[in-house]
Amino acid sequence: MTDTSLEIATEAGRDALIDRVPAARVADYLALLKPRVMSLVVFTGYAGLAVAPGDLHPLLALVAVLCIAVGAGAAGAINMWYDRDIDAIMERTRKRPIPAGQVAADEALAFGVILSLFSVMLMGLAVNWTAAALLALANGFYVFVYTVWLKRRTPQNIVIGGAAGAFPPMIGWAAVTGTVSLESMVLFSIIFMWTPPHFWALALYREGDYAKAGVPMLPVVAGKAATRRQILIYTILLFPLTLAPAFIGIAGVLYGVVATALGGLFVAMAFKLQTERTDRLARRMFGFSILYLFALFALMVIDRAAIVPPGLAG
Amino acid sequence: MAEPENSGDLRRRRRAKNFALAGALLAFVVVVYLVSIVRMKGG
Repeated sequence: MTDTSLEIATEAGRDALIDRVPAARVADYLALLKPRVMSLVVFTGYAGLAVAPGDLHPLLALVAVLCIAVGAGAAGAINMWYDRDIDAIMERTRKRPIPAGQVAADEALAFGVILSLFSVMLMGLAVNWTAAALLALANGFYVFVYTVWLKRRTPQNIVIGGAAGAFPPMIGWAAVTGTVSLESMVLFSIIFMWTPPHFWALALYREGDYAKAGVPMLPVVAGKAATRRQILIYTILLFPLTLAPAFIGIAGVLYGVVATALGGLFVAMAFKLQTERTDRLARRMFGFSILYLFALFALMVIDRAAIVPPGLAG
Repeated sequence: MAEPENSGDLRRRRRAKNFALAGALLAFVVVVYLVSIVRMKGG
């Protein structure tokens, strides 16, 4: 074989190989990180860091938030790898990068695992190992407990699995203090109790999608009426918990007043859902739940800054 | 799997991916460098 023919053969072989590989764009990899979910995780993680007593160098604080973001995104990518079969069935998820054929499943898994390891390692080396351990625990919980174990087995999937999403403020708190305390557990509990009404509101108007994919969400297994009742119960239980930060010194009066008003609205919405059984209201409740959580944590940060001016924390 | 429009397009995407990876690695190195300085100063 001459050099030229070898060159042509190599070129053709490479083209053939390239054609078998999905044409993933950078944006497809970013989509694997579930950026919308990540925004809430990053914000609550930052809030935990901002309201914690003590000082953390701004660069280390930035690294801690970055690690929380990347760790959460990595867990999302692994979740998309595992759930690629049901994602292809559900309307809401079928355009995700793996079912859409933009990213190979193995690549998504490798991407998620590598980012997860990097985020935990960097958190440990740059910030502290308590925060790193909590980040590893959150990722492991999301992947192994929620995604692999619970999601396809029980309607309690998001009740127990919701713990994974509740870790970020605790991680932020640990990044500053190096400990897990009552205050950080209160922040954890708020998100933990908020998660069921949030996801069940979504499941109420996406019930068909979940049924088609065989995911035993509460409306699929127990019906919409039972789901509405459960939403109300969790919303009522959540209400006093959201006021706790005002009583244990994390936040002040401003937070207490606004949290009471917003919590009242959330409970009122859950009551209305018992009589006005429309997808429109469920959709509104889902949207409001996101705003509610953002508002609670934003208020905590604002109120904390008012109680303890920046630079005087300690 | 979705097929790329042509190999030129695929190469462009691959190049963009490589640049993004290089950027991410460079950013990681810079972060580790800066963190080391902060930690050595007792931050």
